[in-house]
Amino acid sequence: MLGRSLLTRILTGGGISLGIGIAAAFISVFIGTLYGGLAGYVGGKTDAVLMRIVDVLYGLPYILLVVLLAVASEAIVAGWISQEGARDAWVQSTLKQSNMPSDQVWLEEPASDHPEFVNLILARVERAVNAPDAQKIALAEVQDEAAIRSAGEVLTTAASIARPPKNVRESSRLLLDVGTLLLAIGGVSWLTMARVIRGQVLSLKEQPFVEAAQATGATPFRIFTKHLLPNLLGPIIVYATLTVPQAILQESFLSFLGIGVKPPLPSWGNLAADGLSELNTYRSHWWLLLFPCLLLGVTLLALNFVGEGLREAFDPKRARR
Amino acid sequence: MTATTASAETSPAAGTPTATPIVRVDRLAVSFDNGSGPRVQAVDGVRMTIYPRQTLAVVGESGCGKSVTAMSMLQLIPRPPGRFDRGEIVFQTEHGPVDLLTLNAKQIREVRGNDIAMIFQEPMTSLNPVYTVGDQIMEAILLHQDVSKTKAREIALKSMSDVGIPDPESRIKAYPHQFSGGMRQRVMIAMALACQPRLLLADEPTTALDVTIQAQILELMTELKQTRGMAVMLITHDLGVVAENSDVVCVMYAGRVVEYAKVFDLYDNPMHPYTRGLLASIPKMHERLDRLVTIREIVENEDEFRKLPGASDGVRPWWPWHTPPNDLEAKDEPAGDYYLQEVAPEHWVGVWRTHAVRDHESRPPDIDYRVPAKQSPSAS
Ligand SMILES: Nc1ncnc2c1ncn2[C@@H]1O[C@H](COP(=O)(O)OP(=O)(O)OP(=O)(O)O)[C@@H](O)[C@H]1O
Ligand SMILES: [Mg+2]
Repeated sequence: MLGRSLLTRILTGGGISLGIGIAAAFISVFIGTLYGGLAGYVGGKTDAVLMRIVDVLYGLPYILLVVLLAVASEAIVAGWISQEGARDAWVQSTLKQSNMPSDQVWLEEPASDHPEFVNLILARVERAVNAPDAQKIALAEVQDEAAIRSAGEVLTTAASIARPPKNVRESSRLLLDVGTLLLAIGGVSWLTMARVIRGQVLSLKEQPFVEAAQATGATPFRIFTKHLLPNLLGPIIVYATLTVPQAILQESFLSFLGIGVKPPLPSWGNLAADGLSELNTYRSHWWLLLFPCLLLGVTLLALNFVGEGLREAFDPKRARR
Repeated sequence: MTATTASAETSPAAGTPTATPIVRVDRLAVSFDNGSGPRVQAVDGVRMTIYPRQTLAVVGESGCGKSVTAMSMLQLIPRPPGRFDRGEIVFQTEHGPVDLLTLNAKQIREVRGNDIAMIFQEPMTSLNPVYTVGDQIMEAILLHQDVSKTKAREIALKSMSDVGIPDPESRIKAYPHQFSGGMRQRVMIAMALACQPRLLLADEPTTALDVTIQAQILELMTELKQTRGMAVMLITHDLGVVAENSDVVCVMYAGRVVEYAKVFDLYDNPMHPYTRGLLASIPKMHERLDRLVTIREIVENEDEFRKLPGASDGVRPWWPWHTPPNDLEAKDEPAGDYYLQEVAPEHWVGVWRTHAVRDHESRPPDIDYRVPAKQSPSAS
């Protein structure tokens, strides 16, 4: 191993794992409560349609869905960073303005054979690049190259000067990875939440106090937010506390696959994976595996106690003694 | 103090100043979608009239449509599966009469809890367990009155002491589960009365309570009715409750009104065999019987159906299990074979719409009568 401090990495990893877990729980609570609440409260055809969608998502292989979401969002992020699309568009519009024959064979010819084309490119680069210094350097570069390169090569170089790749620091890149992971886990784990909440709302809305609230003239929105939601707090908290460890486990699984949190950023998941690879009969670095797992276990246990305590605190029947 | 206000206008037919009824239900028909089969006609052709300071008792067995009638007044029928087929419910608001069935969602919400309040059978579950009773009473007030929170709290406290909740200052912070059933029903009443409604729909308000508490709650309702000039629709299937707490009685069966009369007229002279059956099946204090007569024994006796005034002309009590008489002249409309006929002065009976009835159609049920208030033993 690289001689990094295990304690520091476990603590940092704990922060990241817990952060992902809690954030995923928040996402799933938010989407799940709204979705399930809407389905249960409106009922009828809306309910049927919404819940069939959930059934379909449920039916898809769960991990596959997470992987797909993670990969897809990563691709979008990567595209946004590299700006390939923007460069392509720049090349296309330059070609369009150049009035050259459309077969584009001439792009293979030396650029010095097409001075008008090079001038057009220079003018466009000039317009696209604002900073005066950068502009001068860019112009010099393109002009130098015009003598020795083909027209096509000059065009691509000019394109990357006119539309330079965004300068993204390594740390923000890592954060983006974490965000993607979070979206993927949260975007999948709300399904159970939605089902549970819908079931609860279905039984709650038949309660006499809902009818009594209607009879006092409360609006449906008010009944949902003021009378149903507070009664849903118990199951919401219980499922949220269950979602946190679940999300942490998923995070470690995905990190192991290389989709999730990537080293050097630590998480309990990839620390444990690293630790596992260090287990051998020749010389065991057992602590590399033990401590991340120990902390994970203790945290999951603690989360259960927190959930229990919260539920008790919110239950008026048990709170006052 | 209740005695003085009430005894002034107790004689029947006296030209009372409040001659306009609070609410008039006219030929109400409500049906429910039954999935595969034909629609269930929960009520049909229901007519009734309620005056201020009057208690109309609606009695009948389970499933006869009592709750559906009351819920229709506030449009609390779930639609779908429910549907208002026909009829109107004309309510006298401060600005004149409106048909409650035609109000839109926003308009009916302004009526709910404000002009017309409702209390339910289940005091144990009619309160939201996560809020204090004070919060819930105040919610009802804040929904309809433009007052500050402090003022709403004052009104809530006043309302709670009005319904006889001891020490409202500390009880206002209590949760529903800390109250007994009787106390919760008092809270429900306090909530219902907080906005000074002019009509109170009480759907079996005491069925879940024991006899002593039941008497207290009913007494409270009668007292509040008189002090506030409110009208009450009291739904029950306890004829003992009806005798002591109502002015006019409406007996329902299978979604129709079968008899409608002043409370004493009904008990002294029940005209529909079903009503006779109901009354015969309750034990009486001064009669010694080996066994009680069942409703069935009476309604299965054909002779019982020939006792109505005008029976010789062919006026027959309506009864869904009988084949209609031969001279039936049904109107070409749903429930057209049935008519609520005034067979004796201020005494309506549901009859078959035979030839004799067609020629002498009566006015709709409308009795502006209140039982004279009992002299309170200790005048305050
Ligand atoms: N939501 C509903 N869906 C379908 N049918 C309904 C619904 N509500 C009421 N009904 C039907 O309407 C009829 C009358 O019901 P209602 O609740 O008015 O009876 P009730 O007289 O109040 O009886 P109880 O004394 O038991 O309260 C019943 O036969 C029932 O089948
Ligand atoms: Mg009922």
